[in-house]
Amino acid sequence: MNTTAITPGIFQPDIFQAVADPNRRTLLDLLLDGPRPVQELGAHFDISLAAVSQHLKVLLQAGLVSREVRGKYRYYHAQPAALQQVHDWTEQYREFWEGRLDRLGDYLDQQASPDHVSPDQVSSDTETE
Amino acid sequence: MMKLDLNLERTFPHPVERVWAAISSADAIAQWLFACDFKPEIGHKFTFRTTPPEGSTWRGWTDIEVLEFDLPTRMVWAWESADIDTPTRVIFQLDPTADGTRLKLSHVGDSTADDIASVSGGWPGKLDALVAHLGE
Repeated sequence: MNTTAITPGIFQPDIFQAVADPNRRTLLDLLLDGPRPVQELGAHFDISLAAVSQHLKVLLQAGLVSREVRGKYRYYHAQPAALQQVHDWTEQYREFWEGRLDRLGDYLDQQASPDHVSPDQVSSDTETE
Repeated sequence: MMKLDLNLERTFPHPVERVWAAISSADAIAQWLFACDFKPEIGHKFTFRTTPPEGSTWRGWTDIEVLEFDLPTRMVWAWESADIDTPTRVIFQLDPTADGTRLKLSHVGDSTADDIASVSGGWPGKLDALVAHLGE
């Protein structure tokens, strides 16, 4: 497969900037179904084909897509491994919220005992108060 | 190794001093180029860093040294973003015009094909960002 990845270097656009644009996220979504040429991708947008190409260029430079020449068409491929950076960054928030939810769980357990009667106790202990 | 000989120009409707200020402090450079620990001193070394994408062959940082600092018209950096024997050079030259300032940016030397493609593709957008930063 003749795949062209973009030149690596300091000028490579930030991956978060690359996925900040809704049109570029839609492009990635479409490409997750399989490689497509820009002409086919363009049909899903109201913006011009030139604008779609420009968005693809940003994704290329961020390493999120690669390009393969098939005859006179250029097929774009999603490179989801590059999204690992985004995943790693958001992962810390998942850990944060899981920690918070554990604390909420502990708090609710404390509330449930010993003065507060839990629902299963109510049925077996109907004479209290 | 290949020859790098990139020459770009931008004009600004601002006095030389204002354009100079935008290229000669760490805070200003961070606004249009990259965050760094630049200092306006000959011999000062600083670094631009990014996280290369998965599978990238690039090492992820560019080492820079201030070689010349002639207030307020000329600054030269030694620029090394690939494993090369002799760093490439970035030359900022400011000249007053009738209604503002002309910036000539040259990036010259010998480097790898990848490095040359990267800087040649990257500088135009950065200079556009400098124009935007200073305001039309």
